[in-house]
Amino acid sequence: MIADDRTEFPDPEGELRETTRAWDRARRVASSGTAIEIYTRWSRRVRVRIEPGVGRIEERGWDVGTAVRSHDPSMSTLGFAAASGRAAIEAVALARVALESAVRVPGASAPWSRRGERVLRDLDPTLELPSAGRLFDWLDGAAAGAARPATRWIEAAATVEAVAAEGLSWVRTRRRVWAVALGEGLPETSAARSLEALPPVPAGPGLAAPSEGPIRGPLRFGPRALAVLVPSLVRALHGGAPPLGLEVGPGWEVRDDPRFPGAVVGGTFDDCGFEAVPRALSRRGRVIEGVQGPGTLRRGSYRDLPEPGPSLLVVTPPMAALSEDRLDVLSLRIEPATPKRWRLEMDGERWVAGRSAGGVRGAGLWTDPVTLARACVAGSGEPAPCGWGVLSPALIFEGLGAAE
Amino acid sequence: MTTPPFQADDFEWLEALSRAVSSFHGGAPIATAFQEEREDRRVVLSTGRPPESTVSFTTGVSIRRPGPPPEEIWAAGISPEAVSPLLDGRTPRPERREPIPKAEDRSGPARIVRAARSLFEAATARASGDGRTGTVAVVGSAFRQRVRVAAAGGTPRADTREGGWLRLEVEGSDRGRTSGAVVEVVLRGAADPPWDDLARDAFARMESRFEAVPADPRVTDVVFAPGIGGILLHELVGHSLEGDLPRDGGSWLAGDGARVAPAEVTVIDDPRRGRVPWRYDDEGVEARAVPLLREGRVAGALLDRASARRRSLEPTGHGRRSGFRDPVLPRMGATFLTAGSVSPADTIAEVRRGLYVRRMSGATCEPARGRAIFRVTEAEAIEQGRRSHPVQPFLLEVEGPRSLPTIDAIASDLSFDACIGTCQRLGQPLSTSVGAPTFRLRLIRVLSTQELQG
Repeated sequence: MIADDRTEFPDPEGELRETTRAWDRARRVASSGTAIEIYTRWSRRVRVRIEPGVGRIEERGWDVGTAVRSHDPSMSTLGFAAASGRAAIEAVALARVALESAVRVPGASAPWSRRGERVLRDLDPTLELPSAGRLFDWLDGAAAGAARPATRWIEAAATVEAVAAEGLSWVRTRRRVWAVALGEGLPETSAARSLEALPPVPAGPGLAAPSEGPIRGPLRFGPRALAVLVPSLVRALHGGAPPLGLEVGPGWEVRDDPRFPGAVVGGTFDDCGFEAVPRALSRRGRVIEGVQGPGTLRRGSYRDLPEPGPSLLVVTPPMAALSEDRLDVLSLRIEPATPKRWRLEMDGERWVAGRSAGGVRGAGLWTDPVTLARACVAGSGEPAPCGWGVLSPALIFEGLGAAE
Repeated sequence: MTTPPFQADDFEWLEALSRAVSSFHGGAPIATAFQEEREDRRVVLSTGRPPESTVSFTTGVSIRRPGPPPEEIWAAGISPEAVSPLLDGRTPRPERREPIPKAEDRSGPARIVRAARSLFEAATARASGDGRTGTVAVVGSAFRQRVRVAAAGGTPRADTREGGWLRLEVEGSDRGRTSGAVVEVVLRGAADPPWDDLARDAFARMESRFEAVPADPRVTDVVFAPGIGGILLHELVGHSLEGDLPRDGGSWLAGDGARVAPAEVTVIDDPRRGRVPWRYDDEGVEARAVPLLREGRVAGALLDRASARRRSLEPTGHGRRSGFRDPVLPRMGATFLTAGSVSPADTIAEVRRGLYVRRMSGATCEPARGRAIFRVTEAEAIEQGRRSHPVQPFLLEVEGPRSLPTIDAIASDLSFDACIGTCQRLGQPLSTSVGAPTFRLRLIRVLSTQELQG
């Protein structure tokens, strides 16, 4: 291992000052009336892996990048350019590229908040990361309870972001830890702000031996399946142009909560400086809101334009008793033939008369997002983190027909 | 296209990378130092959503030490002088050495913007005025990447990878029925593709598909149009022979020499051809063609340095990474089924009831089981040896162990890049190519939305 890790974490206020100075230089290359935004992102990552048959691997890295956006309201143009490197070095050259390659967006509104002089701050108390040794210890502990050996990794990261623009400046720091286990099918992921808060990832669902027989009764989706299902349904029903007023099942009670304590993504403002507040997406059996517009704009990296996206999807269905005949869906894959025609491929466990009747692999079911949301009737058990950005109890779906 | 081995600005980097590798572990078998400079451009023009244009420039270094445990250390935006301090555990200080290219530089990736506008204008000019055309969208993407690699005990290498493609999507509706079509084109050389022809093709396909009906789920015979079936080999054969898969239960193709297809079937992966070729991989290993199936038998695997060492074999030049931040994995370059001798028409003539697949838009596979599901977005029914009506999108399930032995007709019309794809593996996207002649498979399972109506 690298014995002498002398990482110097940047001072967030210093980053903001440097970004502001870079913005002051960069805006001079723009014509009068054209606004410039400078975004900088510094990040530090430590990842450790354990691969069956290979052993332990340690990775660490430093990333620094700058992005420039331009907005000319008179010509309705927007530009974007990004580069690895610090704003102090890159901003002026990037501003020229952004201005030159801007595209006309008729009717484009201001792409960032103009809040005035007040600096927005969202700062973690510390940016210190756990050592590689502690991360390996965590992986060893998680592997002890696993159904079988699998490639696993855990990554700890710290970021410092700063923005300077006409009418806007903000700075944010964040720590994040996430772990992945690659079993059969989809990887299993968990994430948290700190190692202490990270739920385990038990590689694979630990399926009972497959058995033949009909699948009767409702489907009960557990955390691993919901990590796939909930974001997919939110994209289909609450992204783009949401079908406001659409009837859904009483169990599809969902809100996006960027201010949830300990959420991995979120905070009091989004990546464009707009205030971020909890928003109910479905309530009392109706779609009432979409994940879109100010408050939801997030950057995947400094190389990406901000896009609407959820922060933490919190599902709060009414609770119901479990049916004695059901399929517990432990792992799910959604295969969309078209955006409105989905095939669910499910692994799980069949229950008959309250007793396990063996495992099920690859049970298939055709459905569509609206039918699926209408079939969501209730929840079961305690709320649990599901992957990166979902908090939900198990969800019960009724009336979807027989799985093959 | 790959470029001559070295350029003037390679030497300072190669010297720094070589020094880093030798200073640490002279002669260690898998220690490598990697540096990249990359430019990406993407443009979206659409009648249904706001246009976008993004440009990014990335530079970074990654050093791998053999351990134990093996370590990978990477940093963005640093200079050659900063490589040694990085290895000392110090926080790197990014500094730019070369200026960012000017936006008005029309060569390289910047060309994609003008090309996208030309295709968009051709398509919007063709859109019907009778309200049948809903949206027209053009997505263009292009990149250029220069990599420099030093490996312990090896010769320093440099390589350039570049490519650009455009996708035209048209959608429409007519009396409550919807239809759509996608046309893709790889930008090669300096000449522009025939924009009007591409637009005409997209609209003609969209118009023909208003009458599409659900695919018949009882069908078991499928013929793949030239080029398209390469996706099937990519998923079922290529992914199953990536050298880092566990040999014990990780792949259905683990047994060297095992027969899994008829003797007419030979599948090769050659990174030097296709739409984004490479001459040296990201570990500095010269790329070579690897027969994956030869005359129906498992013949080889795609190996980076680490997986080759575990198998006591030589690496094949297939070690790739999405960028300096990601670990090297064995990856496919251009995977193709070699040409046969049957005429394309004969592959259809003997089919009483089947499907002719023209386009697939995505796939997932399970290498351990040899099972893959493909999203078929354009296809026609085959009835009594003739192509008949278009069918609606459906899913195609193929189980390699049962299906590959049923390939019984391979035509002579080998074609590449009929469908442009990005392969995702362990979160790392990579531009890949596939190729195939027209061929026929006798045992597939159609997962059709017709089941919904039953």
